[in-house]
Amino acid sequence: MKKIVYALLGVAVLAVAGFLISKALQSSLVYFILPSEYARDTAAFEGKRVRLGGLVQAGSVQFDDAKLHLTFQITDGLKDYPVQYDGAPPDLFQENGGVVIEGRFHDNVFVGDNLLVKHSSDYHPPVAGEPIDVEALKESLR
Amino acid sequence: MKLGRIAVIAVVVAAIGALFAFGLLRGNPDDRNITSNLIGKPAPAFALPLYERYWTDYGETFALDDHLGKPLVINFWASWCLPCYDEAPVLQQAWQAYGPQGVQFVGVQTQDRDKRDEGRAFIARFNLGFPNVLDNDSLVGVDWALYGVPETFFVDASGKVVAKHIGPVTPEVIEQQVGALLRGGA
Amino acid sequence: MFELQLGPLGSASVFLAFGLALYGAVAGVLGATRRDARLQTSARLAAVAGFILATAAVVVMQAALLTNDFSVSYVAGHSRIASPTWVKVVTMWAALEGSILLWAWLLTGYTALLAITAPLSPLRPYAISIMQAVQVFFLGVLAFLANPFKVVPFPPLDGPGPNELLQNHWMMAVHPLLMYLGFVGLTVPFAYAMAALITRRPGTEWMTQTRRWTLTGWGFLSGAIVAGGWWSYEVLGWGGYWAWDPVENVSFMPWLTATAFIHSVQVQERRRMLKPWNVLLIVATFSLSILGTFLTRSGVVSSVHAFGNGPVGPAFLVFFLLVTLAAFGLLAARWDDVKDRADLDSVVSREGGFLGVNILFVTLTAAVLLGTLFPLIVEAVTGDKVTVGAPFFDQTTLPLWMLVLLLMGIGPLLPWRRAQQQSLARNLAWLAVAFVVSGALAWLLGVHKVYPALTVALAGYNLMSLYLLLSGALAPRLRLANRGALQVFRSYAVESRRRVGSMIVHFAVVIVAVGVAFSSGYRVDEQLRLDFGSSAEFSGYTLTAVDRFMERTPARISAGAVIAVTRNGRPVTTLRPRLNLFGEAGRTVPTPAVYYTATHDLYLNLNSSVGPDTTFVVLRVVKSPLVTWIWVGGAILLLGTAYSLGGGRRTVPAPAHAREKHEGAPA
Repeated sequence: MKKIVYALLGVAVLAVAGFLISKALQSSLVYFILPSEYARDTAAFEGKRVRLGGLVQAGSVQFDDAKLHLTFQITDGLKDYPVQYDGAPPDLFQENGGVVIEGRFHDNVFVGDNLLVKHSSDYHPPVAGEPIDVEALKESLR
Repeated sequence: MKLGRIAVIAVVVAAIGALFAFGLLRGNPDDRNITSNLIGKPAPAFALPLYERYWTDYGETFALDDHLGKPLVINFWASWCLPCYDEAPVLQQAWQAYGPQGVQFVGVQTQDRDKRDEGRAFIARFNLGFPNVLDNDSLVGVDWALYGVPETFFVDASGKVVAKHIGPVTPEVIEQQVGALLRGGA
Repeated sequence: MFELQLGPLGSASVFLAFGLALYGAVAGVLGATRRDARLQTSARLAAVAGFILATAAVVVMQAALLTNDFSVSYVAGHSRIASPTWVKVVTMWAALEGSILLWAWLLTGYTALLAITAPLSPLRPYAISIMQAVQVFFLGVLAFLANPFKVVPFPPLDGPGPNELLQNHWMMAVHPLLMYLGFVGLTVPFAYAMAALITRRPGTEWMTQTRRWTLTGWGFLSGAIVAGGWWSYEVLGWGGYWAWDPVENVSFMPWLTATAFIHSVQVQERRRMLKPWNVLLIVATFSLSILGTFLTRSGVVSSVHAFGNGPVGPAFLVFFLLVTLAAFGLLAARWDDVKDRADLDSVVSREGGFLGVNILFVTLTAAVLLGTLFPLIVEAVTGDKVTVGAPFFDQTTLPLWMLVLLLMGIGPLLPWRRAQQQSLARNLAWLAVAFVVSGALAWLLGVHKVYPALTVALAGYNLMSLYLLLSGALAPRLRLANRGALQVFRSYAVESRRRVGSMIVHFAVVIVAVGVAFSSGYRVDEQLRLDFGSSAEFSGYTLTAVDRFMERTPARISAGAVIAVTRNGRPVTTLRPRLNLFGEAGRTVPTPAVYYTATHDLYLNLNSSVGPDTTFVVLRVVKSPLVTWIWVGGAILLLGTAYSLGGGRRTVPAPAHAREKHEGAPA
């Protein structure tokens, strides 16, 4: 009798824990994507929290140092999107450099709140007109 | 019953092991096998001050542009870098073997601001015959997208980077890469 | 003239210690199975000699570091002439090989201490052999895979220096040391548990003999976690102390299972129950400590704290799998000896409470483990690269922490076996009153967020519980003795060190919980741009960028801003957040400046670089309430643990008559 009660209690606890965990996982799983992956599957990532990796497009960086507002284009060579970020550009932030930024896409504009510079130097900025190895880029930013 | 329990544990442990083995084998961004995207691209130019002992042969500044057209071996090192001490004799030997065949070796001391005395001592210890320059601001290292020191780049006669080696070079690496440079250039 | 070379000397010490560990592990088991006292003694002597040799290796390493002997590979790879002396000393555990040396040395030290002090028992030879088998792994890694004493044929003139983050704060010198002391301390009960399974003596012997080791190990591990949090706070620059980063998680999981263990063993001591739980928890603690080292040292899970990879990662993986398979396999094989014969009389009892503690902490461990490994699982299954953010850990663990606090208040008030309805009802009523009153008070004072308000309510409830516990223990003594209350309390505190120690620790947990709840729930975080000479308002403070400064020491260059802080026109303090550059190859690391007060911290981090021609700085300004109480609580927790351990060996678990009375089925 007692055993059955314990077993039932155990199952109930496990079920509740499993439910909570799966719910928490669903809401806090953050995918790591590149601009071209967003372009391919816009609906799936729109408005969802993602980590967006890519390179800072040359000539696109604008920093308003009075309002501390940073905008730039992020690119993986196939697609590029404007990024908005409130805050100063971090140390080592530079054109053609690799960045990973956490935030959300809204209508093809990425609003980020956590900007990391990935100075993994294995990936070199692309030369204009030449194809980009997207897989290598992604791997180098991870 | 007892065996059954042990079997279940063995299966679970094996599954965990498989997951972690996947994690280990999946490779790492830091992996040394990742090739540089410089490869196939023109070698980034630089002109840096040479150490005094090379002035009679090369002048006070070494400009890469002056030496394009020859196969080049460009080695980045620092006085505090342990593996650089391992590879320095290898490079000196290679220079003695391949220098007469028209291969130009260059050593670039980088990430080593104002360490001129240490640089001189390094060069003197291994009696390095090939020219060595000081990249005091480490900016050339940035142009060449260094991951760390030592790194060695192989540039062919057309001025394109054909290979990069991360970590200390071995006689085998030199033989393979410089051999390829010479065959390609001939 | 014979020249002393440190490298070969260190290598020789490591190899000899490895050989002795191998010998001791084999000789101890042979001595035990053949009942050969001389073999057993020789294994114990090997343990002591192993410690002496490992100490020699550590002394050699320190000598090499302090004399800048760059012919020793570890020194050449990780040290630097310009470093201050304290940095050179702690450089020993700044990188992988050295930290394994530290771990191995502490392990040999504990084994030697065990070999000298452990009372003679059928478990002892096996336990010491298992400690030596663990030594074989660590010393083997040191000797064959990651020898820090390799001779450098052409020693460099200077080295690159240790990791910048380590040089940046003295706390980093303490944190790894405490953590390894904790891990190694908890290896002792693990070894005894295995010995108990091998010898089919799953009684209370193995845990009563290791009680001090367990508690010491747990105390060190707790200290390590608090120290690690403080280090993050003072160094990482985002104004927080815990980010659920994999490196943090892997040191947290063994602590969770160890916490469950120190509670759960009491049930076995008193009631001879929860035996399988205890073995399970100590095995989990030990194997999680190995797993953690594997995960952080192999690059398998990505973390902000990057470590290099090499052959050491796979070695730790193999060791982890071996330990897990052997320990759980042994538990399965001995299941019929270990499983409980008695059953809970009632869930509403002290043992029921302890069972609840086990379930809660194991669930917490599972949640943290799942969150840490989930990205790896997803990548293995789908190939997608994902991260599991802090929200997952908050959502899953916060309700569980609340339950932990709930149980912490009621558990110690429950009597063993079965609660008497009357006293329970009265206590519950008091607890409920305290819960409601403090919760309502918090709400009225403006705490309208769920978790902080709930934490205050539970804190009040726990303080009431502590009062009820103390008054319940003191009241009968006061009635009997005609002494003053203070004297009665003092004699009680001396007699019942364990009880009083646990009350102090629980009190500390309440303080830490309140600190965590408020500092994470009510933190204000802003970025400010300040021109030099101008001021900005932040949360009641006025911050003025007065000047910039630059400092140069042989070891580092710092550049920063001088920020004058005033409140209501009155100067409060001057803060100097800065960026540091250690050596030429390094990257800049910030040093935030913190103004500590009892109610809140003002935390400034420099988010822009400062040079001779900069005209403004960007500051990250964080105000978080009650953070200081986390560190205070941590200190009290350690005091409580120490109090519980102190006072000589007289404080044996339970009085003999109580044990007989409450004995379950014979073990």
